[in-house]
Amino acid sequence: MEHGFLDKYSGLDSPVHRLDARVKAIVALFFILLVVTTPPQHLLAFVVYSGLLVWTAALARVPLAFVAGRAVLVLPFSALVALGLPFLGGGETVAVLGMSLSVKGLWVLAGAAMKSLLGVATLALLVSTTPFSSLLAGLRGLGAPTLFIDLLSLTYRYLFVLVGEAMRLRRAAVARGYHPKWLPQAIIVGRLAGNLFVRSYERAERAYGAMLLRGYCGRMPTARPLQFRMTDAVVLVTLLPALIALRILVS
Amino acid sequence: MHIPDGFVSGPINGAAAVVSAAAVGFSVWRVKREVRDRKFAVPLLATTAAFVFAAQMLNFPIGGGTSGHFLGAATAAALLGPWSACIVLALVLVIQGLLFADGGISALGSNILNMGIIGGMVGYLTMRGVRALLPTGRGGYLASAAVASWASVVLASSVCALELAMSGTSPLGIALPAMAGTHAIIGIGEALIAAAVLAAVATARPDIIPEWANLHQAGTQPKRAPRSVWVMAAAGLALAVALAVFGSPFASEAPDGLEKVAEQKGFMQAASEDKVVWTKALFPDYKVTAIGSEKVSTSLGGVIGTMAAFGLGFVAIKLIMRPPAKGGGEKVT
Repeated sequence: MEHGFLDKYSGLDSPVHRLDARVKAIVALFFILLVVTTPPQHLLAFVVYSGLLVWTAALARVPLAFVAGRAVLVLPFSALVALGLPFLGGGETVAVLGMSLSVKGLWVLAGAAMKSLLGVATLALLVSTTPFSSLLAGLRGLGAPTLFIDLLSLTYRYLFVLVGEAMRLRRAAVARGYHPKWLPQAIIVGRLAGNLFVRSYERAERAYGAMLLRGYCGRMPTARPLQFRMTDAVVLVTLLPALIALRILVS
Repeated sequence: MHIPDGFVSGPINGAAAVVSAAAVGFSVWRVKREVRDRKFAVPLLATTAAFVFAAQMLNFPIGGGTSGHFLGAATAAALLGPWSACIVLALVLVIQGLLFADGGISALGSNILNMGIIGGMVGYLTMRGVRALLPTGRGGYLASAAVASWASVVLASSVCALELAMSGTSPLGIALPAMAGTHAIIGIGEALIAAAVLAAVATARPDIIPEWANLHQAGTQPKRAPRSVWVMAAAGLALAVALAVFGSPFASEAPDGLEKVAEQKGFMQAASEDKVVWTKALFPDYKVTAIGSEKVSTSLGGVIGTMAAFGLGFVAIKLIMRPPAKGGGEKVT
């Protein structure tokens, strides 16, 4: 897995990219909370939310197709809700393709689908406009425990290394004729995973030695300090009340 | 099993977030105190989280052309202990939520509860419990890990279904069989993988797994440490109480909702109007916002109750489990 595959647009330059990571994190979280607490019947609200995201993406010059492609990944989960559709609610029913489905159930499905799509799209925009290291620095600035942030940044750093190792292990197995068909063959995946764990453990040992040599004393140094500019203040002061007003207005 | 945004209602996510934050915080505290060299825990937990993430990308076939993937919670608990496993799973879930669109940010609390606490910690308790029943030695150890892995996956998916049902997103009669059923099969793969991972690690680096090292040092002598089994059981009970309390404000709206579920055999086939009644009663005025003052107060009661139960478990552990006397351990501040 290529490093930068995940936040490949975070290195662009735009007004959104230049905002302070803390401001973006607060606004994104606030926006998601707003979205998930909006009743699904308020369709206008969801249209406006989507519009805001599209506008932000345009402002940040992040391709819409990328954000949308990310968002549709969550849709399969909706199948579980769809499965329960005919049984939810009761009351009025509506005929769809010869089946009578409850209106309330359809609203639940629509709500869950819209909210999960918007939630993922928001996060995709957040990580596409903020390098992950800055995002972590922002979260630390917002009071997230330092140890947990250190752990997250190291995990992120080794994610690519270990996913690469896992892919190499699998390629080696496939090259030797591994083509699993039956559930019991999962045991081979287990042997690969066991190998992977030993490698990851020994990597931790080597990394720890290297960290100690460089004077690690239980806390990671941060390179780039965050800068809270006038624009950030303006964005924060105008956007949050605007979002609240919007939420009240459309409901 | 990663719940996206918008599937679980606010009060449930809130309560789950409080429980998860408490559990992760407590785990950090335990790891800081327990680990031989606590600075080593930082790279170790990070690479293990990356390992769990990478191992989740190795698919295995579950038949019918579909494939499942490894969850890794119980395996992490077997390798590093329950507290580290909880932190590792929290790290994995935060990264998956932020970067991979896997699990929503507003549902992060629920996801950590399902996979970190239920999957990791309860999986560990199951492993300890099963191991007390099985013969000691390599076979018994691997078998207990396999059983615990299966149980942890099924349990985690069941709790996930419960959360969906309590949010009114999917009726329990549908969500529970669908989730627990598929995960009962995926769990077999999880069990095989867990046993294979532990066997491989025990062969390559037996010193990594503390319990494995104990097993060998003790030779043929069974080393069971009955007291700590009881402690673990007590902790599990505390957790169960916490879960019950956390569900109570929602369940209490229809006191016999769960009993109805138990006798709803005909529900799936019939699917007729009269059977729908209980679903309606269970969530009589479900709205996604539903931040009426009554709802807030009941869920607040639930949260407080949960915290009380958690505090109780915490105090119990503190009282019963005195810090192990370690000689010459490195003290780092």
